[in-house]
Amino acid sequence: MILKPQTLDIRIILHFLGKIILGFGMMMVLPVAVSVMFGETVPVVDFAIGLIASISTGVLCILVARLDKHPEMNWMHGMVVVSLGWLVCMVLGAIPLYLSGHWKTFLDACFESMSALATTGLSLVQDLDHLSHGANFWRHLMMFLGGQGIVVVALSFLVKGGAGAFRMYVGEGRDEKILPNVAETAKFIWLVSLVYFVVGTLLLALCGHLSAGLSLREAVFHGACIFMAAFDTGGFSPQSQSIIYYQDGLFEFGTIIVMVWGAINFNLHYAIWNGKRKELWKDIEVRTFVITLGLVTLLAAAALAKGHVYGTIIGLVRRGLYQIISAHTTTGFSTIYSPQFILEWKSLALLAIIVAMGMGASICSTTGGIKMLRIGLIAKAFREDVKRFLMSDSSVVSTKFHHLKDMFLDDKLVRSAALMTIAYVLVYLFGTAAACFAGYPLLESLFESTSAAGNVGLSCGITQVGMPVFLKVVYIIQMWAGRLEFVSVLVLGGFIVSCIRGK
Amino acid sequence: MNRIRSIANIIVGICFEMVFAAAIVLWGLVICGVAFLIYR
Repeated sequence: MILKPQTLDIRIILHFLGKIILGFGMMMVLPVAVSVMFGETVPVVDFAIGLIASISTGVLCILVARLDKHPEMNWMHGMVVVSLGWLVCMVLGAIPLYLSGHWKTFLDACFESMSALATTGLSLVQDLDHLSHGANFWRHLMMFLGGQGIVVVALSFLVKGGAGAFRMYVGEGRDEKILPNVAETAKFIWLVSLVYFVVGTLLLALCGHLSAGLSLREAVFHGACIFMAAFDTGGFSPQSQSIIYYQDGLFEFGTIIVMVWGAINFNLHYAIWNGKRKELWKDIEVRTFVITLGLVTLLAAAALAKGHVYGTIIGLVRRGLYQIISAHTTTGFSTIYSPQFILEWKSLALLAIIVAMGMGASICSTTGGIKMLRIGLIAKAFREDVKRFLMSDSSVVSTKFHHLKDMFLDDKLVRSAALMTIAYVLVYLFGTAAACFAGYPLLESLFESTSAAGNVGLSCGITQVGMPVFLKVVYIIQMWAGRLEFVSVLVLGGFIVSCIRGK
Repeated sequence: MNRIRSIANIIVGICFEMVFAAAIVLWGLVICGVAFLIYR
């Protein structure tokens, strides 16, 4: 029998949902400051409307669901708060975008907002090159907030750490704590991100000013936006031509540095910052990343070189390798135009980039996709199974792996990694089927679907304003579910069913 | 003193990660180079 949720359940969910919305809404002050700095008046009004809508929604939720004492938040509450929170933030974040007039419909603005929060980078904006600095900054800031996690934002400022906070933190697709207290973990994630924000923005601004020829003010603005998109492995850029706009090898190199920073597990940042630098070489995630990157690069480079797509080695690196690293770190920056994937790249190179997008990078980082820890564990389990056949029946094999500390590879870990991998593959196939149903060819459909669900953002041209409405909704769901790693989304589905059919 | 040491550790850590990222590019460059030379 399915039990109907009690009033207290709804109140707990609404209360914490209100806090998340409040934390998210307050961030709209930052694009207002950017608009004022650049002397833009109309965007200030757009953001004021968005700010008022967010703050009033948050306060209303908290007031309606006022809690006399602090009841314990269970797993169901945590998961529902997170999945609902992301949807509500998508709608609220879309308000100032839609008001700017650069998105054709409110659904398109919601698509952009979810793409930013989920650090995907697929875009339905029109005439991006004339978008106000404030709105452009907001797209990138949402990416930055989504990359750290909007629950992490709330945990850092508005919610006390505890078991309930940890349940929300897990619901956001992260199950590794860096410090014993989850609120301290959230604060550390912010510390890392803000330190890298300063270093990365300076690095990119210098490249932009000295090498790519941007004015100092524009170089700082572009540096900050590109940093937020690169470190959070999102892939938005302030100009419609993505990284092609800069036409500069040094700037491209700078973005690769930041993308790789973003692809590293926050736990590893913590270890390295505490002097344990050997952890970087020992960790199974990093080793798997280096191996898989080598393999997909080899496939793509062989296909591109054999087809003489790029005439020089520099061309192969700046056009081929860049796309592969961008795909594998699930960033989505590109140095070629979308149609070039289909028109110029060979099928094998496309397959390599799809595999890279599907695999993603580290757990507890800002990347999407299946993640390297899971791929590494499954590969290790395969190797052990083959080894068992070669050994005598009486021998006992115990396998260790290193992920922050030495651990034993047990069946439970492998099962959980395999289940999550299957879930991702099914979601990739679901999006592929949807695009095929809309009439797009198979390979292009697979490319775009993997890009959406793996939170990558590279496009082969399907994502356009004129694409079917149902496909936009499918991609929004894929981006949302892929970022939250499915569990909290499925719990929300179960919660809705129990509200309707429960007794 | 501890604070200075932790700030120094952070700076060295950031430089170390920058070198790691550069090594990733170098790794890719070697593979691309080999592929390019084979199919030249």
